[in-house]
Amino acid sequence: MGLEAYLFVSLLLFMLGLIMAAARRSLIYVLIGLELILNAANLNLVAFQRFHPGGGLDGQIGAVFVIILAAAEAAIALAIVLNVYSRFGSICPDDMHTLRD
Amino acid sequence: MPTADFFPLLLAVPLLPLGAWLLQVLFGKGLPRGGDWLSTGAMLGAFSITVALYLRAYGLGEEAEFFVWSSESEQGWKWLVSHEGMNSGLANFRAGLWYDGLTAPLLAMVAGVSFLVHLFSTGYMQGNSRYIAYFAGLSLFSFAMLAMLISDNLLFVFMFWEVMGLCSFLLIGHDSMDLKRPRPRAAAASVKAFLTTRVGDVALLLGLAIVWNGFGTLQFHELAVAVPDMIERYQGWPNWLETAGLLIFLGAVGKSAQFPLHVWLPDAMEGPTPVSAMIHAATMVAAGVYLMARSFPVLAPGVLAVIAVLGAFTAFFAATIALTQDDLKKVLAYSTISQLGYMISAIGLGSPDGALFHVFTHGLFKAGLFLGAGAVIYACNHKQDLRKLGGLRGRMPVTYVSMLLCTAAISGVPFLSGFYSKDVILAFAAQGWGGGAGMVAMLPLVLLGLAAPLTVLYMFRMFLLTFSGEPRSDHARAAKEVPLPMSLPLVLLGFGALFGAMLWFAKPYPSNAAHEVAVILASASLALGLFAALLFFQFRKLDPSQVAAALGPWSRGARSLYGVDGFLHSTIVLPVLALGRSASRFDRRIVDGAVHGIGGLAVWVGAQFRRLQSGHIQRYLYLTYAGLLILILFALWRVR
Repeated sequence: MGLEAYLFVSLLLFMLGLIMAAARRSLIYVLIGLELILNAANLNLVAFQRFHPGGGLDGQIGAVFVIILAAAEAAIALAIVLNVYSRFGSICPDDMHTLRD
Repeated sequence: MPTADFFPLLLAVPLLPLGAWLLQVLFGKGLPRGGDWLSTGAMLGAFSITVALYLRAYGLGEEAEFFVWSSESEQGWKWLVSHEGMNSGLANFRAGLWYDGLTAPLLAMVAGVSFLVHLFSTGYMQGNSRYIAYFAGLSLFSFAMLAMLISDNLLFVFMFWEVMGLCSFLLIGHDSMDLKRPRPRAAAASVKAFLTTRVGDVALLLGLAIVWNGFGTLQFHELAVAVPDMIERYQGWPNWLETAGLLIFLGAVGKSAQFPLHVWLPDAMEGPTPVSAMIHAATMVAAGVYLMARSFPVLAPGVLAVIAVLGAFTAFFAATIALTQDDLKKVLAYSTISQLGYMISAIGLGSPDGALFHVFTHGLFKAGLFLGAGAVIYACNHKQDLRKLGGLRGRMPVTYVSMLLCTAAISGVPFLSGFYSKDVILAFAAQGWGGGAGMVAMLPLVLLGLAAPLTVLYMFRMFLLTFSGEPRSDHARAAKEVPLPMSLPLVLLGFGALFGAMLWFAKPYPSNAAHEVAVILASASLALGLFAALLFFQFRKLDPSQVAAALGPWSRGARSLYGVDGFLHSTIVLPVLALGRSASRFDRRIVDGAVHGIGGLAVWVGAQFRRLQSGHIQRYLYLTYAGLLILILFALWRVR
């Protein structure tokens, strides 16, 4: 399998993530969409590392950083979702439109 | 001759009433009696100074007619100083004091009359709800007139002239804001006076601008030299100078109430009577004649002809109206217009000295007449209809004698002040202007000659209806002599009417022949007018209403003021109002419309953009994707 196959899968994941984040009716799924986007990026990093080995372990290290970042982000985002639920009684993003004129 | 110590004293003359005005405006409420003693005292001080200066000038003897004291060389104030001189376009403007043989008696007369009016007002205005404002206005009025008389240039004359316009507005409308009995008609009269004189003032300002443009100076004595030079250079009077003269004259037409701008003066009778005395005798209307006398050098012969005829016409015209008026003060108002016609005509006939001489004597006896009328009105509980008066001779002896002297003076009884001054004017009229002959040159003489007996007739009509016969109302029956602060000015002004002519320095008669014509004319007028007045109103041998009926349309015309008010109303006031209304519509619809339109557009655009801010996060996300897509497409397009 060549590089293109990995990139294709990564693109697929990225697009799915975008659509999930924009279209799902639950904040949890929106978060999952964001995780998909991050993992699409991870896959890219690792695949490029594999097929262009000049840069040492840069790709892998980048991916590890992204995984840590994603874990931290998920912790904070879930806390926000809990707060949103206690305030609005719902986690549907359409119900949260009080930030407007 | 000029001495430096002399000018601070001269400067104190207007500054005293100005200081009184300032103190009264600032602290009037805290002063005992509203501070009337302050302004009256200041006027007494100013009057004393003017008398001292007058005596000093009088001491010059034979020279007294010609002397000039000007602060030009010593203490002139520099205004608008330009270091590049005349060629820079901005010339040096200097202002200074001027005191000469014409100023000396006029200044003393104005200060004296103002003082007496102040004194009279302390009695007349007693209990008025705006006592302080009244005296403050009176002081400012006196200040402006006194300052104008000692100015040495036309611009300062114009400035104080405008201050006087403001003061007359305030004082004529004084009763309109009375707390007990507000009089809306006084407000209308004050607005009318202000706007009517403003018409003339605009013309005057234009005239002064033309003179300044042509000569680079507005000083009297420099103009007197510069104008003949200019005429020599142009080989005649240039058109712009004639225009300037005419415009300046228009200013005097407004201020001195000449036809057709005389309409404000009778209406100004709505003001308190001492104010009328002030306006008619010492200030305001005298200012117009004074202006013409001082700007005499810039008046071209053609302009002088217009002035002479218009003045004489006004004299005759107003005299006929005065005959038909039933209001004591209105008779006096039209008599003032008529006498001002004499003065203005004298200017046109080439005798500014004679005009100012008449201003001087007229100031004395007209102040006496108005204060006398004020006393009558005061005694009769504010009734001023001649048909309701009568029989006051025994009840108010002091007022009676004073009014008799003043009436005799204005009628031109020999050896009283009015006789001499009117004599000068008639003599110049008999001479015709510019030595010219023919029908037109004699027009002023004819009109002034006709006005003379009418003057005697309407003045004695007023006098006899007021004082002789039986009282025709309860108010007249109950009249008592006025208290001392009011009767003292009457006595003094009575003396002024008797001896006033002796106080004037210059008595410039033209040729003897013209003088003889004038004396004969004046005596004949007096005899005729007096005879008619006694026949009509003392012995009642003739019924005036029958004569009026016989004159038919003329009498009706005079009674309706010849329709001048109505004519001006329909030809000027209404179109101006219509213009104002359409301008207001233009302003509201077009100008305001444009502003509101631009504002509305901004609001509309904002409303469109506001709809993007819906608060739905996922819609923002879609928009972000769209933006991303556009960026990617743009990048691809650039790469290709």
